[in-house]
Amino acid sequence: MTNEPRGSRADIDALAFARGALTRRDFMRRVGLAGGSLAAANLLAACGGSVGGASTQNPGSSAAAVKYPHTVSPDWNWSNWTLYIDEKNHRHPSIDMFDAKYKTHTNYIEDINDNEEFFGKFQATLQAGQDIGRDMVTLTDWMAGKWVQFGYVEPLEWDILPNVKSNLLPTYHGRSIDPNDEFLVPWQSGLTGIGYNSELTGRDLTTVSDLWDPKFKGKVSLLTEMRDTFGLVMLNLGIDPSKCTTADAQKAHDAIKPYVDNGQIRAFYGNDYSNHLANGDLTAAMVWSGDMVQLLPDNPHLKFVVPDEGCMLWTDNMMIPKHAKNPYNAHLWMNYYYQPNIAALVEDWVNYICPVNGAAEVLKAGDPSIGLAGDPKVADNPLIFPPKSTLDKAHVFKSLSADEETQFNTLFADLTGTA
Amino acid sequence: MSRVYRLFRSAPAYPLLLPGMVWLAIFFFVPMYYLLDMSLRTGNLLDGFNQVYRFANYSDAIRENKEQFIRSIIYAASATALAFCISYPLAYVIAFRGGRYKNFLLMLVIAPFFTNYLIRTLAWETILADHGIVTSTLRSLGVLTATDKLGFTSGQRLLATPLAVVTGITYNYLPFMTLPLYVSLEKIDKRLLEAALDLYANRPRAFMRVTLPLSLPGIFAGTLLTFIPAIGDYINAYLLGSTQTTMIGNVIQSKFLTFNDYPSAAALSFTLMAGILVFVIIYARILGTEDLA
Amino acid sequence: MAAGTQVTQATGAQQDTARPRKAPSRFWAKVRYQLLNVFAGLAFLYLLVPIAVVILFSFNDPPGRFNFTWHKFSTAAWQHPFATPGIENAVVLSLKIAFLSTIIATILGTLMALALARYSFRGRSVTNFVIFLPMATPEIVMGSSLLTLFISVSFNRGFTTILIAHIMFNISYVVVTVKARIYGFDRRMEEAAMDLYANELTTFRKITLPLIMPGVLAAALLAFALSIDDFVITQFNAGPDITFPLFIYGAARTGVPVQVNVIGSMIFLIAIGLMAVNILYQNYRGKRDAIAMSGAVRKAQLAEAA
Repeated sequence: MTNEPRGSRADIDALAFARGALTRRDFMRRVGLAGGSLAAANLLAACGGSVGGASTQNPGSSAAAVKYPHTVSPDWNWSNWTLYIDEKNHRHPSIDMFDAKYKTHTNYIEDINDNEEFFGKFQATLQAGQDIGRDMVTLTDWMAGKWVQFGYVEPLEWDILPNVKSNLLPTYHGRSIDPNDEFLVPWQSGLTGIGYNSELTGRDLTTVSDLWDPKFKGKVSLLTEMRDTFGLVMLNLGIDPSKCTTADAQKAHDAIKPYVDNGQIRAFYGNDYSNHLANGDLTAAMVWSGDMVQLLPDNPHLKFVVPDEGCMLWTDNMMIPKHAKNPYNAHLWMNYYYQPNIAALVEDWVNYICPVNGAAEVLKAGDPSIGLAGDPKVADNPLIFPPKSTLDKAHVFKSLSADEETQFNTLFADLTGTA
Repeated sequence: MSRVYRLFRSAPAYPLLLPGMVWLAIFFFVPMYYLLDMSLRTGNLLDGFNQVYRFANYSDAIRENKEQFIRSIIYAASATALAFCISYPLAYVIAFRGGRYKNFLLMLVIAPFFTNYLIRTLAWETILADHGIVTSTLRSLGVLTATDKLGFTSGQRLLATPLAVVTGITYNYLPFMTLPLYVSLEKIDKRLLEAALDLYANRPRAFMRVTLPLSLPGIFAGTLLTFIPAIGDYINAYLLGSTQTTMIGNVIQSKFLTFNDYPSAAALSFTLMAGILVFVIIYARILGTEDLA
Repeated sequence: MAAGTQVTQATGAQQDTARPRKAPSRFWAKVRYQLLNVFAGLAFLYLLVPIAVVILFSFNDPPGRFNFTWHKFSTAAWQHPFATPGIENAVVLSLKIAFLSTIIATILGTLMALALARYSFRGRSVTNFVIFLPMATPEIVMGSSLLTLFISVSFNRGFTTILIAHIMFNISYVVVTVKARIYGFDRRMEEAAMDLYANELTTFRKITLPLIMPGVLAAALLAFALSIDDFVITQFNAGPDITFPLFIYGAARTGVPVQVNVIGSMIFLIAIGLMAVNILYQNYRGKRDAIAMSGAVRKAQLAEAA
């Protein structure tokens, strides 16, 4: 993984400033709200929150930065995307082993289907300074950055994350969405490219332009993730998505719009494109790499391709929502997952890109102690452990300002028909 | 009538009504007020929504979503019409020819109600799949070529077309149409039909002059009970439709739950509610049903 | 309806072909007669095919994670209906909400129905209108307005808000169902009781309650069914909680597990079983009152009468 720090230095500065400013505004807002019987409690929580956030200037190195009570709760809640963890006989072995080891019960909730939708569900609660009933959530980098920016994330206690410290691939450090590694721990990364059914296309697809082939009319889908869809189309138009402007988004919109209007594009999907690719309702689609790897055994005709003009790269991150009740359990999990053998166990099923150093080696050899057979096919899969040639073509969407985000979203909503 | 009973009758009804009415007031009417209030605000979750009485929220929201509004009306009206065409003969057969199987047949009508709404719709996704039996049969019969030309379907497929969405809506609300029709047809005195047949000596005319007018209350209730939920529906458009078939419900849902754009979502929601109320009143006038509370 | 009032009393059902008439052609009359039956048969097919698909696919053994194409017969999912992670919590939550909302809505609604059926009081028609309105409002409007309320007063969404919403939309249906039953019974029994006991509470307990009980039970069943099936209003007000319908909505994105079909089929079969028992019981008692069979029918009737 060569996940270059995204955004410029100025970008990072702006972000840091924004965080400070927002914390103050947040505080003021809560003071403004104070008046009911909840006021005192809210106020206290608000103070605690901002103090905690401000005191972690040097995370990862400063020892006494953040400290949570080190007591394992009998129960904790983790929201993740669907089909995003190892599965065996309808159980999740990695979670079962974790629960046994720490004498806890992980309430693993697969309720993330869409970054925006998940955020929409909880933002009001987060903004009101209340616990959302989740101790850990797993969101894509741009959305994770938004949570960090808005002050919706509890800082990490690095002292109890030795495995993360030693095994997190170096490229993940100091990302612009979390420059000081205060809040986020990567879960998986992935590529956005093109998936197609070679039996139905009758030929190999190599670029996004191939999606506009009239032969595939009504059998093509794009992604509901605005950054993925616009990103791929921008690359197709020769625009760098890491530096794009609203004018570029307009260009991408204009490039897609005719195909929405003439019915070339059947729909915009989240993970649900996989249903339709699998049963032949779709011929070609913008897809995420891991899904395609998972689909392959059932559908040998399905292919994933990194378009000639390049693909998008993203990362989903584990993080602890503000006011979570059991942050210690979440830390335990993060640290547990960053053991190479556990990461390998998860990777063997999930098939996205693993941020844990050493997982590939364990996966190749297998680890009988956790019931993991050696799986060189996965360990050598270029989509799961991508070679440099692929990563050179991978781009990260830039961090959008609030105004840009509104403009981009408006353009995108015009395409999806929910403007 | 005994004195005690008179006393009993005049005892106040209000205490009995109070808890339920309070509940409905707080959780049905007060929210409507908040919806109206929200629809005139501006802002976002982060900075808060300020009340500025911006009535332009309405014109903006309606202008931007004219297409979805019109589509919702067309789909809901089509689904209501289809449901009526399917339900009337069905209700007629059950009411007049059901005999001792009436209850059993009614049970069959209500049966789909008892599987979850989403599961039913997902079943339609399976049935209408591009490579399914239904689609390939219709395709080979050339039916899809015709419906493609009419704009009901496109690309020789059913799924992700207007026809699929309307089929799903019709299906999901069909019992709402059939049951009121059945109830009103069931009530008709069979001897009246006999008399009508003697009088008009012609079955279709007897039907037009007697049966149909007598079932009017059922038609009124059935069309409303189908049309109202259909126009706000978003699940069928979501699961069976495409970008070209989004309805106003989809917009309201995504604005409320995904983008947290509460003011314009509230404006749309309130417009929908007001539009329906106006429609119901006009409709009641036209059909002459003055019994409506 | 003016014509309707002329109908004095209804007698037993007679076939509309009971008497032969002068028709242009017996043959065509017969064809027309059968045509209607065929049409009704097709309508039943349309109604029941999706249900058959749901049940059929609950016995599927899909090779991958998609239960969309038929692969091979298996009862595995029926043996382990809760094997899919998360589904058990969702079903349990749905059941809890359904039980609680049914109990509360049934009590509140029954009291209102008693008031409406028994007393003449000022504001009666307004009350009727207030009860009618939630049934004539699209779910999305109710769901979104409740959400706006909860957001505006910064009330955390979750179990409580789902429960509040379900009680709200259930009340009207309960009132309407119970009211119909109260209108249906002989009030002289109560008068007699009042004369004998001269105590309202005793009369209510010994006479009124047993008499309206079937109506109350039907209302409770309807409320339960409406609650366990509700998606739209719940989606708007669930916050982080996941009911069974919300679980299906999430699963629909990535391939619905066979277990969803199994649980859907179970609920369907239980409901059908209860209805069948009810029908048999009524037939046994010689009551051919179709309306009493189901609250859904009654709702339709009341909406018509409203």
